[in-house]
Amino acid sequence: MSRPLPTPADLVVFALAAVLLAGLHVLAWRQAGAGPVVTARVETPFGTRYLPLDRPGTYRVRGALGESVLEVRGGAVRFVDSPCRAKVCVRAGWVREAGALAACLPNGVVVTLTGPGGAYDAINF
Amino acid sequence: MSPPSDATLPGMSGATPGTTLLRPEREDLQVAALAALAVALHVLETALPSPVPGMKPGLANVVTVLALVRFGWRTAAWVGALRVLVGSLLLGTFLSPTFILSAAGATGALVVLGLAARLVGIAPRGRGAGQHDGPGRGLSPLGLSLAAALAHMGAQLGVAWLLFVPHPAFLYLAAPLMTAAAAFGTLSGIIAWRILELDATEPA
Amino acid sequence: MRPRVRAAALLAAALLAAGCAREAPEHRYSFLAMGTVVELTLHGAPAGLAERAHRALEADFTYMERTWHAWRPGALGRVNTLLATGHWFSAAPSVLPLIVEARALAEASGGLFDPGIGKLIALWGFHGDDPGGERPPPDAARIAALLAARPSILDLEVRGIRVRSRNPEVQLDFGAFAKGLAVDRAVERLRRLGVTSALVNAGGDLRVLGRHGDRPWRIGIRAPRGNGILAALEVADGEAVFTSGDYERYFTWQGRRYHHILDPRTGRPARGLVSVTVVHDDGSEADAAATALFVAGPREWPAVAARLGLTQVLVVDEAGRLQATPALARRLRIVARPAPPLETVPLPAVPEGTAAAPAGGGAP
Repeated sequence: MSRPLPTPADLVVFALAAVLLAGLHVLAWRQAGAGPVVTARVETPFGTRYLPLDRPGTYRVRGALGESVLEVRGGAVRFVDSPCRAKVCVRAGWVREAGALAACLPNGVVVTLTGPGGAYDAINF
Repeated sequence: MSPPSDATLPGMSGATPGTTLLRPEREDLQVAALAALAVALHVLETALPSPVPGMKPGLANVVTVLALVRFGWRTAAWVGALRVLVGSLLLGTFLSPTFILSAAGATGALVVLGLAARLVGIAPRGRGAGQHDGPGRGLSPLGLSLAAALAHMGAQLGVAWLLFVPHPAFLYLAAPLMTAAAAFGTLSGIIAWRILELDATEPA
Repeated sequence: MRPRVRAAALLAAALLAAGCAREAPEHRYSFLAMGTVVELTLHGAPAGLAERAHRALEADFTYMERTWHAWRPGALGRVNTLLATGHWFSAAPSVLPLIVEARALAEASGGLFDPGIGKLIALWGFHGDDPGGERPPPDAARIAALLAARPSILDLEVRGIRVRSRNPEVQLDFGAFAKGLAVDRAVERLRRLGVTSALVNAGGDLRVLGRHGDRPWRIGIRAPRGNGILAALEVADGEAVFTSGDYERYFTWQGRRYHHILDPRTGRPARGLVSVTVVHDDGSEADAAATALFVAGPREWPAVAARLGLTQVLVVDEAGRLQATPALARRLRIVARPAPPLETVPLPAVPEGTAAAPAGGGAP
């Protein structure tokens, strides 16, 4: 009874798998090393998205009325524009505490900050 | 069980002249037997306790790889599809998220196996057997099984990400789950290899 | 090959175990209801119970929104239609408790909280999902005409389940009260489901159940102007924290802000304060009281608070100065920098016989 011996092609598959797994672990490790990532959960009538707050940028999300524009910078998120009249969401400004929330209700877009180590369980306003 | 050698080549399972009447029936029986085995393993695994939901050894993978090596990709695809469908009906998860994940995994594995068989080719018993044939060309069950397991888990994670939890923390889960898939895929490959070897040494 | 496979399996198991340890025993849900975002946070509840609680609360809130909506068809809408007739009618059982409890609170607040001014609120354009933007305030003559009729919930006569209005101009709008009652009912529902630790936050107005594990629930009170948190507060079991502010619903015209908290005496947005926060052991009372104190203004609020039986109040005036009752000042930790001045204002003693502890018997 012979031992299972890999063919050259098998060895190529093993090598590719090793590279893939190493890459995944390095990515996961780097994410863990960056500390707890506060994430903005963006709920819209068309589904939920997550924006990591350590990656600055401008994001457009589709809502009930149109497009809301969100900006992520310096570990905080804010509404830059929204197709509502009141613009309460824009005026609310930056949101940075885990557990805090910004919303454009007419457009049905709700941004909640989730993440460990928030100082507050909820924000009263 | 010793099929004509051409049956192991993908896309070449066409009937030889004169056996056209018998072939379909035999192929159906093979598919049914393999699918039954795969379903049994699939259901059995569900009963095993698992530290993480969705993490299973994937022993049904062995059956898919065996089907591919012995009877070609079409048979493997039939076995995979029947396993997902019948398994979900037996477990009552038909059209549930579990079913969607299961189907995604099986599809991913079959696509990768199909590509591997077409592009690289299959070496039925690796390098160890058939010393007279020289080193095996193409992928043995070891490489096939590993590739299938990773594709299975990768497709499941991709679908889970798209449909259920598009959360960045997902990466934490992806790394260990893919590692586990690689380990179990290698184990399945060894099992498939041994079975094929037993099959080959069996008197015809 | 074998030992290597075993090592890989062990490694995978170790990684999986590490992954599991990261799971927090906290469940958070949010949904849109009653014109706001409702957040439910559960601590230490098993996943099945958390799911059940979430589904129950979402269903409850959806029902209460439909039933108590001030301008969409529903039970309250039918009550309003019948009130305008001036005849006796049987009030819907879903609305009657609100009328009874709100009347008591309106009386205790000296009419500063009055849900009978629905027509006034509609005239100011606050009936609508997006009342903001730039638009002129309503015509002064029309405000005066409505004020002359003096609509008030105290114009309602209640006999058992029969109700009628002596004043055809009375239309009910429970906007300053329904959220409090809804949060109370939500907490009661959670308790009945067997939840021991939860926080229900309806658009910034919240009530807690139990403690967050081995510590109290911690909340931040947002600064009414600008960004960030004004003060931190640890909330005890059963306590509600409600804030009324001029920034919640408003429109602007020629540089002036017109907000939704109308003074029933002037028919116009109340002036002098920008926010009032009430900490109390009853959500609906806290909700109504925050509105009443906001309307009372910077000088009158302590007297009204004493009459309503409150002990813990924080107000922010237009200059950004803080005033708090001694009981709340002791618990608040001001975290805004630079720290705004905080004045501790003792509540006046309530003259014998005028203390009106509102009959909370309406809510089940």
